Amino acid sequence: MKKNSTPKLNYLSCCIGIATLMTGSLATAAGLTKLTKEIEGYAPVTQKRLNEADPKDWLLPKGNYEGWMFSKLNEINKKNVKKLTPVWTYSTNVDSGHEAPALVNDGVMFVATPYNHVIALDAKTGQVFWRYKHDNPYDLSVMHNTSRGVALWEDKVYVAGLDGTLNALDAKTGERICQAEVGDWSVGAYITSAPTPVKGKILVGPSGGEYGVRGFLEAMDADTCEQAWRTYSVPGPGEPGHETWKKEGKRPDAWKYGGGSMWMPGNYDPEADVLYWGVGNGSPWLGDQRPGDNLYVASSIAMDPDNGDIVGHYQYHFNDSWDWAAMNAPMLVDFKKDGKTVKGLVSPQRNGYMYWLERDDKGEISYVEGKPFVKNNAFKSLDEKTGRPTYDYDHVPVTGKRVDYCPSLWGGKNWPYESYNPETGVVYVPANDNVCNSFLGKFQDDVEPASGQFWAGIDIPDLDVYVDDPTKGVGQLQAWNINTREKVWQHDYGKTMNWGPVLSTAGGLVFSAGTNDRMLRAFDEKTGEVLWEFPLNSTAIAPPVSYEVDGKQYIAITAGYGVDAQWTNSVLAEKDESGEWISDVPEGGVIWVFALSD
Amino acid sequence: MSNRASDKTAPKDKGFSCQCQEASYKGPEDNFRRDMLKYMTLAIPVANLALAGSASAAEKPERLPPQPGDRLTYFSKKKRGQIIKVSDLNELDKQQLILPFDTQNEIVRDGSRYNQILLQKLPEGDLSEKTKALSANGIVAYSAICTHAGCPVTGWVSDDEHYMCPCHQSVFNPKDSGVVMSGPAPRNLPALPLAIDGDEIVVAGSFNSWIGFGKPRR
Repeated sequence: MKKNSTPKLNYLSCCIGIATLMTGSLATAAGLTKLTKEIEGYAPVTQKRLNEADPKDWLLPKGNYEGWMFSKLNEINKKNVKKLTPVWTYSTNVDSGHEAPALVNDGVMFVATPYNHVIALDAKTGQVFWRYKHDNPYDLSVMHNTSRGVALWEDKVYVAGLDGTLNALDAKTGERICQAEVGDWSVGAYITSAPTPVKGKILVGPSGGEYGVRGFLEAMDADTCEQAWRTYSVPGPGEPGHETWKKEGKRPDAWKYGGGSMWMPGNYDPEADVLYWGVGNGSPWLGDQRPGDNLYVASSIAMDPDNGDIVGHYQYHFNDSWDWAAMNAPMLVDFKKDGKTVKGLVSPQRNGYMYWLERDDKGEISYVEGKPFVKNNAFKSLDEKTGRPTYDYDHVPVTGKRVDYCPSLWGGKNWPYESYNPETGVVYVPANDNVCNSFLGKFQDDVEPASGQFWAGIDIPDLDVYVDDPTKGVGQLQAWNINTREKVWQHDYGKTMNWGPVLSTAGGLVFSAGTNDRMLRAFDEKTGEVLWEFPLNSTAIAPPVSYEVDGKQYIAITAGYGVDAQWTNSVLAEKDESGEWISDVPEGGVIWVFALSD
Repeated sequence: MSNRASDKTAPKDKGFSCQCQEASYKGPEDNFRRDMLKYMTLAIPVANLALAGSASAAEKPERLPPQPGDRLTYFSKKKRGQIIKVSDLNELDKQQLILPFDTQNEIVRDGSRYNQILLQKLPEGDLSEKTKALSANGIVAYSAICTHAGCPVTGWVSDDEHYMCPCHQSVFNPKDSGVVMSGPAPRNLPALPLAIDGDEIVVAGSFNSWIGFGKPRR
């Protein structure tokens, strides 16, 4: 296990007090938090509470460690959902793509915004307690300026900064207590991920797969902000898997900047004490510039939370050349296999295939089945025993040639979370079919990897994104039974992409937004019928969540269009000749909270 | 199976790590505040605070914006420190990412991302009057920092002879004041006036607008 001496900034309140007396400018720098009202009687978030995932709370980005995006609450249900109405809203005062779920702890809500503001509110009334504005550097440059949420542990709130920091805030006041420098944003290792709390450590990994950054996950001590461990997703010399980075071609040291960012929060099996994390795309995108299978790019990996050891892995496709990152951790579910219930993992992947995997208590992962849920023209087939794909090399990007493929680099499904309802055994997948792209692969030797420059092996003007069949739509919500492994229903959104994470509830409902018509919708879990819909101020691409305060169930979602969802919509709208594609989607972050009208 | 991938070469060479308020950098004053916080971290006696402030109050030369008389060098570390000459540039080659270079003191001004510059030779007759006035022999220079979200604008649309930002695809016209042709960028790329001295390209003034995104520095 490696422990390196990451710099830490610990702010001593006594000294801040003295210094504030000396200089007014210092007060401004230290005053990152505006406290309106201190939170009284804050309920500490313990490991037990995280494991149990009381449905009154929403303590983790996906609601529970298994990654289900499911609420056991059923006050709001199929029969009464038509009475769902907004009860409060709150403007975040920030534009661009809001991708953070509201976390709710005992009636206190925490929302993160682009550029890493964190807002603490009364989850019942929307009254603000405090707002933290992270002090990102003035010359910050990141491809995605979003935040995918905060982590809660004991009496602290943790938020990663786009500047690569991980920050511990006092949950009651929002004051920053300590900070770790995890990634170096100036080389491209900025952070958008929500951190994940496990057993007194806060885990997070940076982005950088388009910048030649070697991906990693880092664990920070929750109390001290000291580094506990760091594990790279690309094995170094002497480590198992390093041999999958062949020392051939123009870049024999490709592993050093081979990507594999771990840029989304992971899942956790508390019983077996095993983490499951997703690993992103290879860098640069062109696989021929880094020969070999390239472990653990485009894989799910199992890890020991105590020391970061990789204890198991499954690679969905070898030598990734499409930017089909496997960044989302697979959901931990039980499903039927040969008539028996097995502990498994299910994951609708960016490569357009849905995977059923088996897991054991040691973290070993084995293949069960894979099925396409959208058109993928690069995979001819999957090996029956291993799931290893056979490629159609006409659709595998290479250096020096323009190659087209489907699904597009944004995949059959991007980061927006799928949802699993354990009461019905159905997984709900936010999918995009019928979008393809082509690009000309280039060997970039004008800039170095990890220099803060775009380093994906293409020049962006050479990227062409298009709808394969212009008469058809793109965005879908698909429902799959994980036991029969068949699709149950599909809702077609038409001329829009779908960037909406999904929430299912014990009320027989499935909530999702993410389309260019700004709607938040509630579907019938069994039929896919739209039972309720509401136009938000902007398209919501953040996860919807559910919680309860004083016996009343709420649904919360933050609207705020931006980042890749906005750009892909603008490109496809511009090419649309049907007039059906909505191009003018307003920006602006607003937290929306709904409940049944009395 | 235990196959942990670890490495002891964690990149920590930030070089520049100002932690100022987003889009509200106030120059050396902000460095002062940052350094103050660092000293407090260590609980150094109050007397040291004044020392910390005075040490960082002067702008380091590698962080200064391009200065008149500066030459230009490559951003690529392989060639950083080599002076870019007029004869190195071919008309309509893709724009290059470069840095200002104080050759008298041998200081490459690579201490701030805001010093990243785009350099390109264009047909002089194609330039607008304003751009021609800032250019030298058809050579133009713009801030590389996109006015939308701050990414380096390194894409070259060869068909249209425009620049494109790889982050959010804002398109700029280098022949006409770096004006926005499409995309989310709200304003032109700031231009840097150039002159020629023999075969060397020389910075002839300051950027004609403020660098970066968000609100201007005050």
